[in-house]
Amino acid sequence: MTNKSWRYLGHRNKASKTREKIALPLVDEGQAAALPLQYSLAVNLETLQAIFADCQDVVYRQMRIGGVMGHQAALVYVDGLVNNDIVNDQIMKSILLEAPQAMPVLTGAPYELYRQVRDSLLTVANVREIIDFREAARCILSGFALFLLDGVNRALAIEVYGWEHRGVEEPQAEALIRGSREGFSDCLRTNTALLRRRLRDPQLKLKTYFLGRRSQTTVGLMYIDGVANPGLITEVEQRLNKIDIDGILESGYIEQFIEDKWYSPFAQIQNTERPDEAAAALLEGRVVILTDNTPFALIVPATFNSLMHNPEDHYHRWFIAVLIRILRFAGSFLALLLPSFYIAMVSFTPEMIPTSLAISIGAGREGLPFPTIIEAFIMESVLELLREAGIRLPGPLGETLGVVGALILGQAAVQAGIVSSAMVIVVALTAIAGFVLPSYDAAISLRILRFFLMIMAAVFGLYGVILGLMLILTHMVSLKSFGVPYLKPWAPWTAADLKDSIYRTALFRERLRPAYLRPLEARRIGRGKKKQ
Amino acid sequence: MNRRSLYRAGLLLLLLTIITAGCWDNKDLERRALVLGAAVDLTAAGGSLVVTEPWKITLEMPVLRRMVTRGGGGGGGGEGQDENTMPTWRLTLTGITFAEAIRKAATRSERTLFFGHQKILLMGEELARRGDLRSVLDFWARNRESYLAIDVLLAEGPAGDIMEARPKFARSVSMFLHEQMQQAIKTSRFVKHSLAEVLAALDTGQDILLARVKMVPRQELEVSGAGVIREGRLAGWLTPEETQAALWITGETKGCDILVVPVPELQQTLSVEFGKLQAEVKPLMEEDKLSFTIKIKVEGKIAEKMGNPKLFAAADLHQVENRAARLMEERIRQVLGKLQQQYQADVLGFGRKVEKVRPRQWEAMKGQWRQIYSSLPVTVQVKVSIRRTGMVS
Repeated sequence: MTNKSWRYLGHRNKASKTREKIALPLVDEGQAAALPLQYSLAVNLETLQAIFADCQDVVYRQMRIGGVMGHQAALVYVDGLVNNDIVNDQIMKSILLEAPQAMPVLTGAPYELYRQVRDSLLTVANVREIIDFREAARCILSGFALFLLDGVNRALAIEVYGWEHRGVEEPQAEALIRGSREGFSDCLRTNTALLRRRLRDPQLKLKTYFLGRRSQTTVGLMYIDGVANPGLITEVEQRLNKIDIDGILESGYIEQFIEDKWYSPFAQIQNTERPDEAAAALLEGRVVILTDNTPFALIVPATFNSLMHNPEDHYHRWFIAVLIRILRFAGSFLALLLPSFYIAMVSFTPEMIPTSLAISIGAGREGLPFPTIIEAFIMESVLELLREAGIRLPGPLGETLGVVGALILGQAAVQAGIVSSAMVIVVALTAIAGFVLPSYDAAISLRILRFFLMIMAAVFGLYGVILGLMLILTHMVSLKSFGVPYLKPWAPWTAADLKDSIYRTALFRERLRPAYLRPLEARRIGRGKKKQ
Repeated sequence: MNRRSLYRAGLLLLLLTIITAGCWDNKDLERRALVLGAAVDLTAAGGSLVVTEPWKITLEMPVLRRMVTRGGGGGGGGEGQDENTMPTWRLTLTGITFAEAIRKAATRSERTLFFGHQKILLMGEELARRGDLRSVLDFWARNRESYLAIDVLLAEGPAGDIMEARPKFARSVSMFLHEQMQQAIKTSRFVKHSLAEVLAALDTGQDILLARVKMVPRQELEVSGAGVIREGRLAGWLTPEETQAALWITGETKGCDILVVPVPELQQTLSVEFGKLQAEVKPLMEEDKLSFTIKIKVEGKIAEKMGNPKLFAAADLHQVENRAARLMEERIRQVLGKLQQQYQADVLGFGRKVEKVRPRQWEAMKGQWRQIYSSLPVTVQVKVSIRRTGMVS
């Protein structure tokens, strides 16, 4: 450990736990950002122009209210972030046309006019009063128009944002058969509205953070007060406050900063682009973190169990859901273990394969150039290649590439005598089983571990597979997500929570919220009112 | 050493074990020759044990490509097989011991022999009569790859010849015999004993019956009857009917067996199908004189009736039951006579029964058990009750 600097690579500095969030200036250190607004419009505009130097998309509209001798005023906004119609019709009109009418004698103090505009004239709902440049700059960059008046050391930030953004569309990654077709959009406000529409409860709280020194990304922390455990909320808040980075471009940035174990292959935070899934999590007593500019919301805490679930499980009748869940868990085992088991069986312990199957596999393998292990690695790599290539290709082409590529390549490889058909079946089955998992994160961690187990199988055979499984299990058992053991409710065992695990009981019997979330209000379904 | 460096050292150790330990036992399936069955014989025709290489072993191994027919076409149908289209390869080796003979396979086969899929072990008649079975089976008892569930069978004549048979459904003799042994549940005309059972019997000095395989015309095989193994050697054969009767006594008959009962009083010949068979073998000690009672209860149904078309009356059924019981008693007595006097082989485990019930007396008679056994009085009582008469009454 001589090289000190190396130790900091990849390791989060533990000392930063106690470090307070550095109050960094919004734009530039030298600009004295928290400077209060001055009475002189010229000074204020000068300061703003200094802050936004070389920002040619910032518009400074200077005007005189009430004729040539009227009050000097200015409107500052970023072109493209605001809705020009609103600026023209609601702001410019009321300031330039209605203000002189309302106050024909414009001889009074400028503050009178300012108050008149603020209280009686502006026909925009969301108007904030700003007293310093720091806030002013933030508002301008968030799609507000800033109204400045000469002689007043305040400004009005008028919400007129109207930038182009993607609307509410069907979620791409989490399509369901039954359930809402709405997915989160890229706009935070739309997303909070989607959740509000699902939970019309004043107890549904939203706390907003601006994270990223330069990106100032709006991050919304949502939870149901009186359900979610306050300890959990404080923990999440603390972790969010500790984030110190220049820019947050996606919720993945946040996830990687607040997760418990950076070296774990397992996702410890769930992400979703489905408002209904987020709402379900909120109702269970979890916390949802929404990030501006991404449709992916984070749900904490997550367990392996919750990653394997799908909101649809609760939309279907219970036994359909149970069947699908069993299928899903079986699929996850297949996706994780099939290739390594195949390698172990064929190369190390062929006595464990039924004789006729052994003969079939052996017959298919005769004359192949590669040993099973190499063959398996080649085919699995080809599969990963196809999958990755499929993502890059546009739309339907990508999907077809996966299927057609695998089929044609597999068929050709078998016919050319390079790989055995049994191997193609194994690889195809593994791939299909992997797609059964509802969570991309869970699927990808299994994909990584699959290769780990394949190496273990290649070296130690069945013994290695079991050893690898034990290692994985040990890791999973030790893993925690915001204090919740990752393998809840199986380890530690909580019988009550098994009602929503691999098995799912009838909905009216799922009376209590998951106990491991320690919700303030345990009961979900009313006492006494049974199903009629 | 702090925790992190400890982790790192651990990781290094783990990596080292992976890198240095190599891949032991790593041999792909297609690079092994799966031994499906082995037939062991004596080399010399006269069965002399003094020749230099007394043991001969024939191993049946699948030629993988020919075992699997793909898509129906090609595959070279079942008929007219010659050595070049046969789905199996039978490799015959000789040696001073079996281990040595099998190791010689390395000079004949480019693939390593693998015994993990061995299904059957077939012993030639000559070898079973002359050789000591415990020595013959020792290789399989010690071999790590072999399973103790292998079926052990006796061949009528040389076992190697049996391997030349052409079963019609199965693609190899061993697979045929393995599947065939599962049929033991359908009939009690042969016994099914695994290597584990045979080894256990040999080690405790017990006698045992082993299934007999013989060649029938058209190169087909038949499993029927049993060889009586006495003191580790083949003493003689039991016919299929005698085997049946022997298995009634041990209660190993699983039912479904057919007993043909001629009933002259009704001018009918009936086939009685066994539903349930309970056998009770009891040693009796009266004034130091040992005797045995065998009580057998059979539940059966009429599977077939030939002759007089008259339907059954209750009394008639009674007659049938009586006839069947007498017939069974007679056949049991006959096989007992053969086992007791002719072979003096306690394959039915009478000795063990005495040991269990009267351990002290057993200690005294253990030494001359064979003499006592051969003249042991046995009472046989069979009770047959017919429960069903089939779809037509």
